[in-house]
Amino acid sequence: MLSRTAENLFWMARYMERAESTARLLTMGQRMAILPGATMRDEWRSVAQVTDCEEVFGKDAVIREADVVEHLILNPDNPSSIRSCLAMARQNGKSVRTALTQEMWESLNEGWRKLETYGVVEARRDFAELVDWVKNRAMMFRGATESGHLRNEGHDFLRTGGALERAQMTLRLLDVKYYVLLPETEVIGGHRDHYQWTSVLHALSGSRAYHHVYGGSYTPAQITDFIMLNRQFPRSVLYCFDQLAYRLQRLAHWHGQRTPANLRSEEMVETLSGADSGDIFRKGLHETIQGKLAQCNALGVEIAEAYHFG
Amino acid sequence: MTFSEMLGERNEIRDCYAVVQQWVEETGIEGLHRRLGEAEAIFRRIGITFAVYGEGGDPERLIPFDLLPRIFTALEWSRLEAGIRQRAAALNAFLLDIYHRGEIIRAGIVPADIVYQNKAYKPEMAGFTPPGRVYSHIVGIDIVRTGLSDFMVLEDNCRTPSGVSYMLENREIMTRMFPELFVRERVAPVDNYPSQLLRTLQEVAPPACDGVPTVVVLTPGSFNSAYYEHSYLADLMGVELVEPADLVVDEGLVYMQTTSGPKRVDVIYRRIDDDFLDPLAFRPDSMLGVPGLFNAYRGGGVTLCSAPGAGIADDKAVYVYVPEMIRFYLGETAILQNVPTYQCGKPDDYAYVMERLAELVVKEVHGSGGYGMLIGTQASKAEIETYAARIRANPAEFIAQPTLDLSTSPTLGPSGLVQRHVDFRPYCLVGKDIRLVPGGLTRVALTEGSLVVNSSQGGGVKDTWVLR
Amino acid sequence: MRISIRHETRYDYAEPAGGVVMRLRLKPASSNAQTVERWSVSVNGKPVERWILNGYGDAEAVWRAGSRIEAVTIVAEGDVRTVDAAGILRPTDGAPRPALFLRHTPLAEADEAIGAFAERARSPNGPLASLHLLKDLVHDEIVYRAGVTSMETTAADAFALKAGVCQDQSQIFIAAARSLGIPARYVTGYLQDPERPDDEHQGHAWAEAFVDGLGWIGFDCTLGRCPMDGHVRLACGLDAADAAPIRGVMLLGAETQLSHDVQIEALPLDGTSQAQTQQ
Repeated sequence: MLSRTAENLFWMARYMERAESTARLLTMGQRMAILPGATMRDEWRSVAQVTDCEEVFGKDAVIREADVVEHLILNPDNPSSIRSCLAMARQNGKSVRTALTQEMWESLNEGWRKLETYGVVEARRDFAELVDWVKNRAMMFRGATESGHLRNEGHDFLRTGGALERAQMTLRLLDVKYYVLLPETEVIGGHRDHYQWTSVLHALSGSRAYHHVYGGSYTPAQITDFIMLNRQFPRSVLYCFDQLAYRLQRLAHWHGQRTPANLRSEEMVETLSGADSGDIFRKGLHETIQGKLAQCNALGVEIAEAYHFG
Repeated sequence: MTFSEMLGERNEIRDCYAVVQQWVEETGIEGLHRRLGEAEAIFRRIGITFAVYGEGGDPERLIPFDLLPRIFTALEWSRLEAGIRQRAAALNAFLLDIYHRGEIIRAGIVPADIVYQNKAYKPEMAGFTPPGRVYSHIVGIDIVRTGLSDFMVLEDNCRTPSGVSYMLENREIMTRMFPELFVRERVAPVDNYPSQLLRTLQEVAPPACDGVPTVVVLTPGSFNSAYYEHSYLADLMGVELVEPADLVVDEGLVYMQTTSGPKRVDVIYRRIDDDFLDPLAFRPDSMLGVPGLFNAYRGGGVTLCSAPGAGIADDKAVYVYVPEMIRFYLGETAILQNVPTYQCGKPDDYAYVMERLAELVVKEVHGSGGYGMLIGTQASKAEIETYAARIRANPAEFIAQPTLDLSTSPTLGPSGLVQRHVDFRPYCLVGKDIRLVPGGLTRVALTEGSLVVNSSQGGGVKDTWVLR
Repeated sequence: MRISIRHETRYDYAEPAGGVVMRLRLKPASSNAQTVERWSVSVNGKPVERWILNGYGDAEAVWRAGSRIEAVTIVAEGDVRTVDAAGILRPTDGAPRPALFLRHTPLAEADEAIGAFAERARSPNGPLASLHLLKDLVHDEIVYRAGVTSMETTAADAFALKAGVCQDQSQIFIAAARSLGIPARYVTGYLQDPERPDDEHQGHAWAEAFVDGLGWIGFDCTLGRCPMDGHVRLACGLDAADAAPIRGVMLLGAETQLSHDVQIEALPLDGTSQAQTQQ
């Protein structure tokens, strides 16, 4: 397979995943911003932090919903806005048309210009609908991929990109919210933290799943365990790492050759699967997350090198 | 009088259009419009949007599709086919000749300067014989009809004529939406074009290739206006679609960069202009291109389709001599006529043209795609004056032709069938054999009375049927 | 004459350059005027072995750096035996049609001044006489002076200066010849001339023009005569850029520093057999 094709598939999946994560984050932001006792500024700022674009808004300024909506949904100059992500995913897809099924292409192509027609006012008015639409695009894309895409190496590159992006998004979300999960904040108690946790779970579409696993109670240890270490929850960090290791193993099989990326991904799985939330808190949640993010970045570089990305 | 493709001499519906006529009556105009909406939705969804013939404009634009097919009888086609094959053979013979001894020039048939001083003539190709002695592997010939048995060639396209994906998609959508039509009428299939193209390309594998040749389609990238076609053809042939940056030349051979390292490439169906193929051979400032590609080609390590410099054969100054080429190389009389053409570089022709600008169509010798063209009958006085000044400044750069009364074909209008002017481009494949699928691209000028079928100027496309 | 040549070109990159590819036209061909006894071209010490004949009938090779590199050293060297053929190069089969060399190129385009200049050389005695007149005119009126022009200087600009180096003199000659309707081309090579020590450590260039019945004839406007046995012909083209012995591209990289050195010396005439038996 052409290296460029592999690279495009990898990034196409990443951009779709990123568009969807951003949509989920926005839902979380809005949900938290209307909670009693929440200062609006803090909540939207955390969304800006997760998406790595806090500097756009300035350190001290109040970040308003309108700013975030404009910047994270509509702004074509912000490379991580939903509009940019969808356009980039489509562009990557267009460059590898021959490696996609008709349905996959259609899911990328349909309505890709929709956001161009929106202003901030309309986007805020139709906020919920827009966010749902973005999630639907991503789900449609995944569904089309699931049901029709050849399980060749291209598929593995695509899934690798998706898993890597998702792991990083979950890690960043955790990092921004880690202070509410620290055991010492637990004693402060109160509704706000409870809402905060549920919001994090919501952003990951994991609140129902969480209850299935842990029953009705929220504790920081359980939430951390769920988001970091649960091997069944498809947005948990370990689940994504499992996926990465699996996909990279398949790629090694296709090429008859293991690469440094295999080694690293397996090591990432191993360290995390042996840990429990107690270990993580002892080491420091923030430090752990930073460490995992660094590993993800290094893995991305190794994949690019191993398969001759441009 | 304008020839209507649907009507016979006594205004009766020609037999070949009977099925269509019946279909229109059964479905009704409203019904046809509804189906057209469905067809357009499909086109848009699959993303078949691009400009034909490198006309620029919005590459994401959908070209209007007309539901009513344009139809040739088996008899009409057999004559067209013979004429197209003949022309494709002669054009390739001409290219082989002028890049070698230039016998046709020595014989005084084609003037030396329109060949050797033409920018489309690539000195880099001199003395080199491409595999199979083929230069132009896909010859697109633009044909217009002016009467029941009058077909004329408007121009030749010897580089990389585009639009064939429309031929395939138009048929695809017609058979998908109206299978009953194809049950009633025996329409020759065109869907084997991609496999014929692949065979053609494999037949011209370079000397360095042993085994089954690896063919790729080379595109400038997804921003190119014909990108959809590039990916579509690669897909249907089952070959890789590569960009220049994917290719590298090493020790006279060409490789594509893959996830498991470099892989040999034998035949490149390139959809990039000569000038941008290789910065070491052609335009040095080209950011596109594969350095060393041309050297590998001349060295027999890879085949480029079409050959660099093939464009000289479709130059409008050379066009005039095609009937004589056919006589010179094939010893035959041209089956398809040229449109009478005045070369403004010749004093007599110049005087004739300047006096009749208001009646003629004037074109730039090296232009294409309907740009830089003067249609005298539709131009204002001021436009004619401006154009005349350009001709005066450089007469040899212009040719003129009479305004042709292109045939019309029934087309779906808002409230009924209307007659609109059409042209036709078949795609002739030249490898070890000459191949031609029975069909091509029919373009239609959707504006009433308009003779300009270019999609950038209100043109649309139709399915083209050859009956068996 | 027997001439020994060593032509070294060196590219130093400020930082390691990626995707470096070069086209080389550094291999002389044997003809009626010269016999190549020994010749080799190497890049960074590795011999270049895959040569093809290009559209002008000259040898051409492509060299590609496999990875990022800091410097490229190209060495062409060998011995050539020459005879005085009065500048006449007999045409070889497969050579492009002379009419091709009437084509205008940006570097060798005749402006009005060059057109008028060419008319002064037009002789009633035919093209050969015109060409000799033209060569003398260029030699007399365009002063050989280094440093006033560059590789990019056009014939018209150099003509306005009335000065330049062999490239400029040749391109003026070519532009003027073409304006007289005579095909002319640019030739690169080497010159062994004890009277012109200036030319040491440099390549040389002259022009060729086509005369029906005779073939291609060399005109060296710098020397004011036709090439004799001191000239070793390398390659030709429509103008200096087209005939360049080395053309390169680079994908990634910063500044490049170019240096070159040409060493030419006459060899004793009887050394041939020795060199050949050693091979």
